[in-house]
Amino acid sequence: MRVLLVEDDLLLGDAVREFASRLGHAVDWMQQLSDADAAFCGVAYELVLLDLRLPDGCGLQFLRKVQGAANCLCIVLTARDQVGDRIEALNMGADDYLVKPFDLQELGARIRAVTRRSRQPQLRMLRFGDLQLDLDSRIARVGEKIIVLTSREWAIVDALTRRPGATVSKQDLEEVIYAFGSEIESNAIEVYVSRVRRKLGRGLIETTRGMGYRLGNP
Amino acid sequence: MTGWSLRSRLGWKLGSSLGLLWLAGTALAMAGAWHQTTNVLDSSLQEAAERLLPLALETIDNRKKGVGAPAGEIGYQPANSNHEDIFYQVRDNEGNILLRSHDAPRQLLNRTLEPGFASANGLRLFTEKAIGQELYIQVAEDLNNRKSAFLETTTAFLAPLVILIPLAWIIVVLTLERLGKPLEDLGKELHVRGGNNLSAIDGTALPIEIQPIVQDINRLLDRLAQALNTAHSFAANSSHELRTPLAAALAQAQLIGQDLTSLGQDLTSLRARVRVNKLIVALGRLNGIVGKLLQLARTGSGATLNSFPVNVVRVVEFIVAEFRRREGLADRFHIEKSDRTEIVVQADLDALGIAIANLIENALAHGQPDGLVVIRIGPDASISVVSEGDVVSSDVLERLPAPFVRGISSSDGSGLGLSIVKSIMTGMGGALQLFSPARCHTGGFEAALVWKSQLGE
Repeated sequence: MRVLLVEDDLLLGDAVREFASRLGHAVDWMQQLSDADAAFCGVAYELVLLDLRLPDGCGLQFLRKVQGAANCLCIVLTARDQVGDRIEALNMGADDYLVKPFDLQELGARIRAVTRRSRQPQLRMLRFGDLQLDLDSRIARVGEKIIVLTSREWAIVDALTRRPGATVSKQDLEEVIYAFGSEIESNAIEVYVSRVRRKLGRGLIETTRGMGYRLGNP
Repeated sequence: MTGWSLRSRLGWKLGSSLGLLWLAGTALAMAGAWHQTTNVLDSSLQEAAERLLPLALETIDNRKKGVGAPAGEIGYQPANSNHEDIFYQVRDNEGNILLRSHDAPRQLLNRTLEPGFASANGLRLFTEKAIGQELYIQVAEDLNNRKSAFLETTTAFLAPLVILIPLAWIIVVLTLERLGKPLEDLGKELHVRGGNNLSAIDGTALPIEIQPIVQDINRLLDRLAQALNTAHSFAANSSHELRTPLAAALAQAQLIGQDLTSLGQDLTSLRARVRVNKLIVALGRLNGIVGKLLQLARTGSGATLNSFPVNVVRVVEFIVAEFRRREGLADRFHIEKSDRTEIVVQADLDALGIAIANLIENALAHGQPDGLVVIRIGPDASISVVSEGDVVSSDVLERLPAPFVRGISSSDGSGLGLSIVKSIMTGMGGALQLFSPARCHTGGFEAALVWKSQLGE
């Protein structure tokens, strides 16, 4: 997923970005609301990790903007631990609320949980012949054998399964796996698609010439 | 409410003082009237005696000369005479009645013939001696006449007071009522605004005697508002300033742990992983203590003194849902409640949230591992958290709400959770009650939040 992290603390932001990247997400880290606002206007983020107390204002206003955008989830990460604060953030559209300090594994679980809730139930578990994809747990099996995919390979699969039947452009796939400032090789998407096909079967991802890729018919 | 009522005390004092003064004034007036009446009537008696004596002497003299009535005691009766208020006897010095008015008795009015005023036999008498003769005239008036006249005068004085004194009392009460209304309105405004509205009171409509008090109250409210704002800001700022670096340290330590896991299984890596895990545990404990100290600071500073209608069902469900999202806790809770989805109580939402969360954390930390935690919401808005486990002795139970006191459980804990809950409930006018074994159970521990109405206050 393409993730926007809004956190002004350098050490914490660095750790969260690193952790989310290790989960296979492309993370853009902004330390001010104005920067986050500009980034949000330019990129179709699927998840925002938002601190509320930022140097140039309160994150709740930005939360309202995120809530207005289609298909974008938001988890609030904040030191404000009062019930009233939490209810206010959830009422304003936050999908979850995590009080600092938090366990990174807990953050990973919350990201999976909000993603799972947003995904249509029939798309949580997909079957393609012998291939079985558990998208919530990120487990791929061919028969009884578990197939290990890297984070970016999962990100490609995840992006395609979110829009079943639709063609996803190469540029959109690049946005999913590369954050701002990442060095993108011209054939990177082809390389990852090729790896996924090799591990999970050629029929899983179909190429729409000149347009992009789409999920094959189960 | 105990104490005394200014209005009723003023009413009683003013009304009774006014009534007593009125009665005293009337009594003095009556005494004066009695004195004056006596003087006037005595003077009339004397005047009558002095006027009658020459006439009586002349009559007696004429009788001796054979003119007029025959000799002997004569009751003089003028034509068209009616009942006399004043009557007389003319006597010689041997006590013989020579002449008397027709209403005068045949007996002596008074045995003594001492000139001047006297009272005897229910009569007021005036005796006058004829000059140069041993003849006396005694003019008398029935004292009952005077008493009757005085009684009539008294009645005329007192009759209006029967109406005027209660009327005066009613006027006093109504006046006090009217004058006391601004004070009553002020009291109502202060009562209605509760602890949340700390804005200044408008005292312009109040009497000038009360305005300085209102100004002082406004100054106090302003200082209280500033103190509460400072407490709120401090709680929010210190929470941010403490929690964020702690979160950074914990997150960085966890990443190091992940990195070490990927390095391999050599002894050095294993040792480093063990140390990082210890560091993560220590940071977790530090986080717990920081959290509790921040809660203690909030409750101690009065930052949780707000009072708004709070739906306890919603708050309990919200907090339990948060706990359920934590790893391994999804199936640890059961909420027992009636069908009502809304049970409202006047409370501070954040403080109530802290109290409930602390009780649940307490149940998880000290209850049976993997045991069910039951959260019971009563129809009276009471909230009980019941955990399975050994029975806690009564002496330990008594000490548990004190700060930094831990039970016999081996679990880590700051020893502050229950004392924070107790402080919160005391601040909101309720109480924390502890039971072990839990009510309707043979074991376990129950902590209940009860409200003012349930404490019978």
